[in-house]
Amino acid sequence: MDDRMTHLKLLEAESIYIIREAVAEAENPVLLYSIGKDSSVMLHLAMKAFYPSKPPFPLMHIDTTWKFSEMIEFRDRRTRELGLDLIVYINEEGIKKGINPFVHGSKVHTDIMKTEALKKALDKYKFDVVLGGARRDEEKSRAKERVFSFRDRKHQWDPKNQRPELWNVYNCQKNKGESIRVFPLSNWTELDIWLYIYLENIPIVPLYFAKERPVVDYNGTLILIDDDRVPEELRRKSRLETVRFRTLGCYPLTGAIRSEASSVPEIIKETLLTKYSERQGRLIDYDQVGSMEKKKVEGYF
Amino acid sequence: MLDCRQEIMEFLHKHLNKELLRFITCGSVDDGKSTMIGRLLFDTNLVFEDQLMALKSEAKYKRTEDEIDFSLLIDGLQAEREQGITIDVAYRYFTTEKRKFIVADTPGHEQYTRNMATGASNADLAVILIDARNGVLTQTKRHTFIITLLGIRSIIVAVNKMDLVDYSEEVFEKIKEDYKELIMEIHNKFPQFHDDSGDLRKRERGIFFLDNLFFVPISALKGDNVVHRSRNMSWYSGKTLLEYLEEVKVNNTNYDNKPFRFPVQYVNRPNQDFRGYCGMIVSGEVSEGDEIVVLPSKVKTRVRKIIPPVCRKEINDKPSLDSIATVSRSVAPMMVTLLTEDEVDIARGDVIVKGDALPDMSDSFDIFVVWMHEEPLKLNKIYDLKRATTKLTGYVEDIYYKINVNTLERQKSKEVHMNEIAYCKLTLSRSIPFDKYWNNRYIGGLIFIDRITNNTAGVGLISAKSKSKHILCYEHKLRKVDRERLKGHKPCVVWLTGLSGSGKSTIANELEVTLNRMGVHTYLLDGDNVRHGLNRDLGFSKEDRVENIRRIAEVCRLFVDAGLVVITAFISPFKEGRDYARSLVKDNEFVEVFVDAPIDVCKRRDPKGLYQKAERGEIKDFTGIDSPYESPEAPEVHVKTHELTVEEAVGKVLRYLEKIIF
Repeated sequence: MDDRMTHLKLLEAESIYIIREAVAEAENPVLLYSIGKDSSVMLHLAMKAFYPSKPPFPLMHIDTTWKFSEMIEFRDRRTRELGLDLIVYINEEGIKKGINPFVHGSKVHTDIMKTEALKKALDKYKFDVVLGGARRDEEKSRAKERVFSFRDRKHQWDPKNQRPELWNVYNCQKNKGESIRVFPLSNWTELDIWLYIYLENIPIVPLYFAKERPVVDYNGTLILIDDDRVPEELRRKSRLETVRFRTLGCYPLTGAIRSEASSVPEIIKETLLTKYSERQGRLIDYDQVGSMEKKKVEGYF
Repeated sequence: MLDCRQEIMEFLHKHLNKELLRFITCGSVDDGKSTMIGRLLFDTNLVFEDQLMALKSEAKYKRTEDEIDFSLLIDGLQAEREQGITIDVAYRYFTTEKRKFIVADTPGHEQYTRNMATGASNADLAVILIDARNGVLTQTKRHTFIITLLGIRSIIVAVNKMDLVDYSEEVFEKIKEDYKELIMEIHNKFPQFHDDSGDLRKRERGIFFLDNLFFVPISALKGDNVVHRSRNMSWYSGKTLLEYLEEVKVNNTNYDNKPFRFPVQYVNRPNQDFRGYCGMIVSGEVSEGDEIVVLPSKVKTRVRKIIPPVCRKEINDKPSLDSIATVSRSVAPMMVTLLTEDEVDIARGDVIVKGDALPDMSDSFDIFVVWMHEEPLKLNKIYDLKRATTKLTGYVEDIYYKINVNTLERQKSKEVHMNEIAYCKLTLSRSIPFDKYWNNRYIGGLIFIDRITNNTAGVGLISAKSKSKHILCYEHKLRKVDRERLKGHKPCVVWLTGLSGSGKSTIANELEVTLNRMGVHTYLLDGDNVRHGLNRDLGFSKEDRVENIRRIAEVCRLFVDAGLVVITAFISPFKEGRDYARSLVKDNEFVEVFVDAPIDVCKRRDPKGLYQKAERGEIKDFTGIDSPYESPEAPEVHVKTHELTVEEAVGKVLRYLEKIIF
């Protein structure tokens, strides 16, 4: 047996420990599944943590109804293959109001169909421990976030009252009505995620890989013509290009990048290796696509 | 095309095989700590796009001809402190082809003790920054004491701002000598910090209790000896800071030839035929067939299978033992699931060890406390505690002394305030297996949890076992399981709680009769048989009522040990008392039954005429009248006696009991 502890083995062990600890102390846990690559890694780790049982919790997807259709197909296929319970929650109030990102813009859409929806879903199902795939390297403010993050009865976070976390001893005690968000991937970076997907051969949504797709320029972003809810004038201007996506969300709000990368090694090369060698120790300007990455902070977590 | 492919495969290969090092940086912004971290991140050339962006948006960096002010990296911390956000540790990540680094960066000034202890708890190495112009200062002593207290055994002393002392070798050598003296002082004053277990490595680079101690003269601003070798210090023949970070052999506290320790984290039980014990091997190794001992019960068995974490599609609800993925051996710090040869009772919080390396057991310890909450640590106040996966209750019985972190001198004290460190005596509600903290962090470290607010109030590091207050410590030959076997059922406590007149005694009596007919060995404790004998010296003041419940809880523990199903019928209005009783037995041995009826109904029933007396003021502190009743938040069974008949209420309790005692 190979006793050598690579960084990925250690990160995996840490994440599994966190997932089990959260579940062991929870009354009603759930895994928030957003279908993206980080969620794919989370799901993989959850499967490992409880093998040969299935994870003792359902997955929950907050569906804004504007996700890429390939994401929904992937979600349904994966959960069926793994035999897991899936809860799909849609904010019906938003549907009634006819919330549409093309009309109302990203902020209103995100607030109502994601953030509000999540709070309502948690109230409905009374989940007390919510596992999520956020990473600390995603944005600076998360560098100080705890692995176990407490929310009061109104799902609010009190940053002045965070509990210190020492060793792997997590204080999961809470009062009735309070809940905990748990982030097992806290110490993973973007590179770690891709390396692990490659190493473990983890299925991800095909949208991450380059392919010829119909796209159109929309407010400076290249978006996919995913269905006929795209306004007519945009659809008329669409063209076929070889593109892929770095992050996945609602298709009208997620920019494609022009790319030929159609395998995980090629993606790693494109996003990490090339930039790095181009830069040669000097600061470079980051591109617009990169800044989309920041919008990934989906109000969720 | 082929070249490109080769290039990426080489890149992947290196990065898939790299190691992980967690380190903490100690020093203040004035010492150039931020500049040093920034320099490491940038000069390694492996700051990826996302991180770069984050830096850029956070720090509006100034740029001169060829220097970048990396120190603005730390601005985020400053801003958030002004907003009052608690920042104990900020984690930063960077990587080279050899190692991934997780840097715990702690603000150097305010609340340094709490923050540094938190950051150090997960670090294997510390980089201590010293300003070459100032040499070893009080803060250097403070930082070094805290990180060595937390068990860090590899230190790199980075002597910064060498450019401001003309790259002088003498300055550097003087600091080296002073720092070694500081290590000797800590070694002399705190001999506990030694790791005296496992494989004592050759310590040619180490000194006293340290495995590694390196000194590097650097200029973070100019880049000397951080990543690139300096041309200004030809007299220095050692490595650069990054080279040390990449190459230092860190004897992680737990991996090397240590005794096997496995705190059970989760019992995996998909069906009646499969019971797997999940956890992390925190130290040592385990192989199929090894003889193991479960603590604290001391039950012996063997390892039947070791299941690694794998992800398989064909998972089903009836895993057959032949088709499961297994390994023949596993080592720390891997996550595994153990199957045992015999059917034994193992629960979350138990610790599995090997027979040839049994840890000591005790319910009383000498510990170092680092306090982290505004509410000070008080003598004899009961706290919840968590050690690895074990939940406990306990209190500090004695504060031997506090330690002044600046001078390392001892002071007498009755309380321990936030950011203070003290040496104390801790008493637990039951015995646990333990290792000294400096031999095994994950078995010797615990957290204090305030029972009202649930905040993490402080941490304790076990130094030694202390003289126990409990007398019942010798080992009985006949064990609880032997008695259980004879009786044919498991023991437990059925703790009825509720207002006077809610129906506790009625239910308790009916329940006992029914259980007796079923062949279950029971005993009923109530006011009649306790108040007249065991507790006849107690009155009804708050203190006496607390003591009353404490004694009853202790009796319950003994009766459970004797193998009985104990039924208690006391108002027991305070959550603290009930939780204490719960803490004395195993998780699945305590059944809290909330006998619930509205106070008006109870008053109407008033079987003993007590409500009338209380309302006339003849009885003081009567629950429901002039003393509160704290309803159970999550009782195992909840019976509403104004809605159910006695039979229905008893039936509800019985249905729950049948699940756990047979």
